[in-house]
Amino acid sequence: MCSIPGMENAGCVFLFGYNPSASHPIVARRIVRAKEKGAKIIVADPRHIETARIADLYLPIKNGCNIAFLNALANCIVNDGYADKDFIEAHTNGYEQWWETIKKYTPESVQDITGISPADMHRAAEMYATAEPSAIIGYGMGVCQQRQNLKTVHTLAAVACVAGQIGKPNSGLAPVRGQNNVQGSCDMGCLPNMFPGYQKVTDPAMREKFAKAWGVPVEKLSDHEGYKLTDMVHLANEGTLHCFYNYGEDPVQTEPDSQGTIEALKKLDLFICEDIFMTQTTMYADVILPGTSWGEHEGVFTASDRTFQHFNAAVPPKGECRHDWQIISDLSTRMGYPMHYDNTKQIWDEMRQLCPNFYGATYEKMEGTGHCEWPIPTLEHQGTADLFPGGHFNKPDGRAVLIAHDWEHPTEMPDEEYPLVLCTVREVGHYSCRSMTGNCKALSLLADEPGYVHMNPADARARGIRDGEIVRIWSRRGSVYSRADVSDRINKGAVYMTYQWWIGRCNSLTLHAVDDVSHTPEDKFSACQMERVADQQWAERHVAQEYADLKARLAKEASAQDVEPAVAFSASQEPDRILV
Amino acid sequence: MGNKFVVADPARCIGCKTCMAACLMKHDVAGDVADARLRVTQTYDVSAPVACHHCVDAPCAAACPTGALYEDPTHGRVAVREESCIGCRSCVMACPFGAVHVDVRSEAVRMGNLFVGTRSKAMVVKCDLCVDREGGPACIEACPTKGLTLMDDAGLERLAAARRESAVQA
Amino acid sequence: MNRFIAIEPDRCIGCGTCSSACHEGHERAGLQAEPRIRVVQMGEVTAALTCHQCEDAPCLAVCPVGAIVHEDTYVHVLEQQCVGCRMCAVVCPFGAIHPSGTSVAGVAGTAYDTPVHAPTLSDLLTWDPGVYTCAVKCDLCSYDPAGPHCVSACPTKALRLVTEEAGSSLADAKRLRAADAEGSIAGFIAQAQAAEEKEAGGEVR
Repeated sequence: MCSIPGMENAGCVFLFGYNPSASHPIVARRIVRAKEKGAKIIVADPRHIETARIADLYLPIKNGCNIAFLNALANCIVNDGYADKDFIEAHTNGYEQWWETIKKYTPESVQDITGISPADMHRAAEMYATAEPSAIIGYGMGVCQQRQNLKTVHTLAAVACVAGQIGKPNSGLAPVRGQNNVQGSCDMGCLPNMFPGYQKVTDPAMREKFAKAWGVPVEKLSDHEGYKLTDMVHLANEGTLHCFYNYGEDPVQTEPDSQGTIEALKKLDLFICEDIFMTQTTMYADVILPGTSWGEHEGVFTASDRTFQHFNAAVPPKGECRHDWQIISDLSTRMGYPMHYDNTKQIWDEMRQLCPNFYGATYEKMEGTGHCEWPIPTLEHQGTADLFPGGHFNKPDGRAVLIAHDWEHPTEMPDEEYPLVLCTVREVGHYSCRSMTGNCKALSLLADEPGYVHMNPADARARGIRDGEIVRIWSRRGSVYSRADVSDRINKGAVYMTYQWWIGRCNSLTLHAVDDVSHTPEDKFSACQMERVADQQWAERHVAQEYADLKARLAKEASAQDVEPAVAFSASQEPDRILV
Repeated sequence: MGNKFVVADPARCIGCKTCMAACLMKHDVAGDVADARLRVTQTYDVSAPVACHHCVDAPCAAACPTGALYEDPTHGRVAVREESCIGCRSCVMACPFGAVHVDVRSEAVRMGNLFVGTRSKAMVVKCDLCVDREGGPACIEACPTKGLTLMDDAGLERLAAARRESAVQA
Repeated sequence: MNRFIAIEPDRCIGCGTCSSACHEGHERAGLQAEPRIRVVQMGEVTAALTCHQCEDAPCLAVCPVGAIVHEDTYVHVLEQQCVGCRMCAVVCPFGAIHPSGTSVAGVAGTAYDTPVHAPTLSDLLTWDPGVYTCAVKCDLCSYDPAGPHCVSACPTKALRLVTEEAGSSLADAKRLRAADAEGSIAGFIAQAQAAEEKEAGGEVR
């Protein structure tokens, strides 16, 4: 993707199902600046999100319409004469076949699916395709956590190529990653099909290279792709998976169908967790190895735009907590492959030798607030802000392949019993599964359990639900209590929940359906129903009690490590708070 | 005039609530109440924190029977004197912006070292312009989009002058 | 948070029906019949005033015998415990709690028609023979499930029982209106910055 600072300089920023103010406030800040510098902002989202307020064009798309919408957009770009014929000719393959699909998708033909008028589709096509000097499409889980994830990404890439809005500075696609340090873990090969640096395990030359570097016979390195996280549940249920080493993840909280996940974990012979806090997942572990948190260790993160940054520890580790790289080295040694490093720089330098795209990213370049944006192939290289300069792509002939797909509806459509679409989103403030920020007083004072379900006033009124009341919300998978947040920014017929709430746990409701290639779960679309709890006082007490019980269970599990009586925090010392 | 106030620019607000977190943390000290004095409010089209305007003819101060809210011309603000607050909520009713509220905390009543019981202490929660804070208002410093400003008479005049110039040139 | 009764002065016509309803309701319940809500008229304003059910009530703080307590959502006078010291009446900034008592005139033939004090004497200083003084204040008609009599009796619907929810909603509504109004100032920072830069650049007029 283009660099994050560069987003300010684009002529058009098009957010497709992406809400930066909740997910990446820093990116939202860039977009505010872009707008002030005169950029056009297009927002396509079922909700009237923060950035929609400053948008030049807001497209209230219906949930689950992604490919239908993008195909119609592409259709308009071509039919209205905005296609960059020179770029297509010089830098792409497959245009004729691509058009065979796209030509069917007139905006009129899919208006029922997208909810967007032909006039607005044409406006969007013009605004995006003709933007000078460049246009960027920002997208995140709104694309990826859907049934047609991979196909949608193909579609986006084709749109950018056909419009000629890629391969020049501050242009192209901006896939914004969900967490810190997911980009880094992908870069380092924490993927079932890649070595570090995106070198495939199925490539014999790569296996040779790594086998040699690591001093092991090549047969020791797997020659086929491994399993993805969402496969874990199936494998455990089948009896194929016996041991799961869980490193800093809380799948019970964050993966779809929590109950299904719990049952799968219980089937394992050995469940090891390396984590910093007791969570709903680590509660099931046979062994817990305590790691260090962000403030206690140093290393390198990769930002969403491929920028490596070195970060330092603020405080030393406590007690028995050890750095993750030390734990892994120790385990590896005990399992028969001796591994020892004195510091992270040694690990980083070893890795650099093996990853041509990262070779020039030295600790020296990252000192202080220094940073390196890969590809950075040599020590002299300063890093690469924009990918595919001049329209040269990562294919043998340097040309992008244009791929079109037909739209398919999501897996679980709403029906009479479950009439509402459930979509998972983020809320600004707390982070991810809340195992860290749940301990932060300021953030907890601003937002706390049971969390929120965001809904449109019409859906609330139809059920007698008032803003701030406790509701019960359920699906075919399960049922939870949450707090109603009624806002006319939400589209009718859909409700939105965030996966950071333990009591109002949205993944007790979500569906375990996955994209057929990437196996990313379809978090953005499942069916649910909700009702107001008649006895609100009971409901408030109940959710408070559930939360207290959960915390007590977590504390009890954690107390196994105490050798001295724990000092309990006395609730009576905390002043009561009641707000007018 | 003389009074200052913190004002948000909705064109820059991204609804992140960092201002609220900064405010409540600044007030998270003994004798104070850890609660945000400004509240991010969202309508369909607008996101912005609503804060105290430190009105020159403040209805909250006028309604307060005990002087817990009072005009403080030295600092250009409507100030708070917590000891005097009885939690009658006249200020809450009076404020047209919904920018004041009352917290109640349970305090221990002691005779020497002997714990005798608890009492309710009402605390009026209203912006005090962080006059005791080096660097001024915590919220302004914290805002990631630089969307908050401390507006005073001079600032208002400069803004008005800029607008008059634009109008004349148009 | 305590509930309390609030007046909308623009609707108040000073008719006193609230005071009558309060008196009647409490008398029937065997409680002190002194009305706990009173109409006050100033030059421009008429308003029926009553107790604010303060969260940190000074009357409660000052009572030497603990006869004033926090009940569920209001401040309550335990009439049997009150000794009539009147400190609560002195300290209330709203004048909403006052000493009263039931006259024995007419009971078992006891009567007196000789006034023992001027009617204009402040009730903080009056004393009648045989009358046990007791602090009287708004109790939100807590003895009656139908709720405050003054609110239902008011002919112009000028009185309202403000609950925590209603108070919150009101504050939310004000903030929403304020935010909406602030929409019109969007962009002022960029505008101010542009003006400053121009000034700093020393443009020639």
